[in-house]
Amino acid sequence: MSTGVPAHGGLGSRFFAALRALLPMLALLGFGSDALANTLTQNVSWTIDRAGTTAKYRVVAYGDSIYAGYNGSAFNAAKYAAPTVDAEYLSALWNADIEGVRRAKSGAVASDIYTNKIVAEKSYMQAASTRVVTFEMCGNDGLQARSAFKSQTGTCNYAGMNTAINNCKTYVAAAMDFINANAYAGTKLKVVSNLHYPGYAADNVQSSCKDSTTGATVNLQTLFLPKLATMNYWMCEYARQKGFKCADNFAQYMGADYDRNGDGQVDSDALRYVAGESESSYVTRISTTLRATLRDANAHFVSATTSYDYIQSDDTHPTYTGGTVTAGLFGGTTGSGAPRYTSFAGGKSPIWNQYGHERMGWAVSTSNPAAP
Amino acid sequence: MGKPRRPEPPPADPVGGKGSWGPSPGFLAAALGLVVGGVAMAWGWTSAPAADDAQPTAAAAGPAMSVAPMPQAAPASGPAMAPPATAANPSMPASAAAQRIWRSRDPNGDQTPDLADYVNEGERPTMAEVIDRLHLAGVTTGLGAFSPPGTRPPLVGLAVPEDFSVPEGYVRHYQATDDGQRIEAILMFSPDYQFFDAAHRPIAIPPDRVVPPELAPQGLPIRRIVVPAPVDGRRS
Repeated sequence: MSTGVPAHGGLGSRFFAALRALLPMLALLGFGSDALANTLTQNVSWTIDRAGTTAKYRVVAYGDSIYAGYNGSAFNAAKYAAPTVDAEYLSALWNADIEGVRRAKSGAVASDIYTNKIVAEKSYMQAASTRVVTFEMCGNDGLQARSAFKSQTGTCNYAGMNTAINNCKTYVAAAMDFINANAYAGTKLKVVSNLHYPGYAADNVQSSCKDSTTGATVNLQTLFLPKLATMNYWMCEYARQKGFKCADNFAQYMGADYDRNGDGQVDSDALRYVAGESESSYVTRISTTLRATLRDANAHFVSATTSYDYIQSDDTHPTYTGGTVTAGLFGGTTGSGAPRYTSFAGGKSPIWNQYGHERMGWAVSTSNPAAP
Repeated sequence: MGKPRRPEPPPADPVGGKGSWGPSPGFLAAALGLVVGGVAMAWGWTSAPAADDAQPTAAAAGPAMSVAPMPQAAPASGPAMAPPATAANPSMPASAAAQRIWRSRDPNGDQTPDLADYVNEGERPTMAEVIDRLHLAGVTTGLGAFSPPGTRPPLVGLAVPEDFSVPEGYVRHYQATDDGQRIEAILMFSPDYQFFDAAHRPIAIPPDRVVPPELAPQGLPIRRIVVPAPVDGRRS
């Protein structure tokens, strides 16, 4: 199996190996390297091994804890995280084995994903078997900015949220440019996944700080929703501009799969980014016009009488099914297994809307090309 | 906003070329001596098993492997990694000796340090412990910005059999455990429906919308669900 990884290191790896040995000492000496320990590498390569096939293609996924399949453990992660779910769809569509390569780092901000996963690990998308490259980022920029804002007292300072948006825009665009320039020439599909709003219901509380103009506290949900919408807009808009597809997870997670408000549209469809719309149009539509249709993804309504919890108990990460694999402090996993489903009526698995990762993987799959 | 940094191109002379820099063995030995005490102090964990500690760590001398430490390919039908002993007895995994903190890096991949560089061999912190330690160290970024597992525990309510027809105003709600197990569906009130009593007064709905036994619809067997226990080890 080709992994795109050389078998030997060089001066760089020797240096970093020595550096890693020294880091705890540097921390003790007060060099502020605590922050360097705030992420967890969770790489997984899982091949959907379809019976009776010999052709094998690759899906490469770069990202943070979402694509990692983070599950609240430092040692393992979901086997069927969204990119692997997509690999299962591709296996049936192309009648082939599909190697899902997830290069992920939980807790990493967009700049880290870009620099240390997409750029530093570009070899994975340069393999001749690569047909799909997908990435997601920015969630941790948002989480960190939200956490910092929540801890504010006195007069509110909104700069951190705006910095998170600007960093997201910068590195999403850079990631697309880099993937366009470096992915295997035969790559058929490039996809960016945007963000659901974790903790939407929990954020419906007032801040501790007070707005400098009104002198009043601010509702966290009202503050953060347009910020998140701005990030999501630019992920989809840059995708449109740069030859990517956008898996609009915000719409998939946050809106019901029926017309809950009677406006003639299925809520999750109405929330989708519309190609070519302006930032103000999208943000207003999400934050104001359709706001009443938004629901925390911990109760995603697939009908008026059935709902599924898409969010784990940390109120942040997507639910999943299909077991776990080692990913974290004990290293990663390279393995293979038969698909859970070998055909998909209407392009949907029987559980496509029952778990967060299944929904996201399906969303990515809707752009899959008919042939490799 | 600055332009994203890209890595330097690899050097032509890979290792040990004349005039190349490398840390001195003495300095590394001193550093490693501090590592043991330093990491223990930084994390404050006191449960490092002696058997694991007796084995050399792979911090600086780990094999230059480019793949995961676990099997390259699993049997076609099974998970590559699920150690049965861990599932059977999470607190004392029989395969612990084979499960070591993985400190090596893909030579042409991400070289930056992460949590693995700060955890002692033999320790198996829960993510809640990791987050707690980060917070104690003043780190609220990265994993420190995550909420710990259990922040919003699964709802426990009345089981709704799959063949039970849910009346108007009620919802069959499905949940999952953090390790991917389906939790039996519970009965909840719809957020878009108002119930009234015989006098046409609105009935107060519990804030979590979980239907209590006294408000269950007719015909529903009264039985509370049980959330499955974790199958992949200690989580809190």
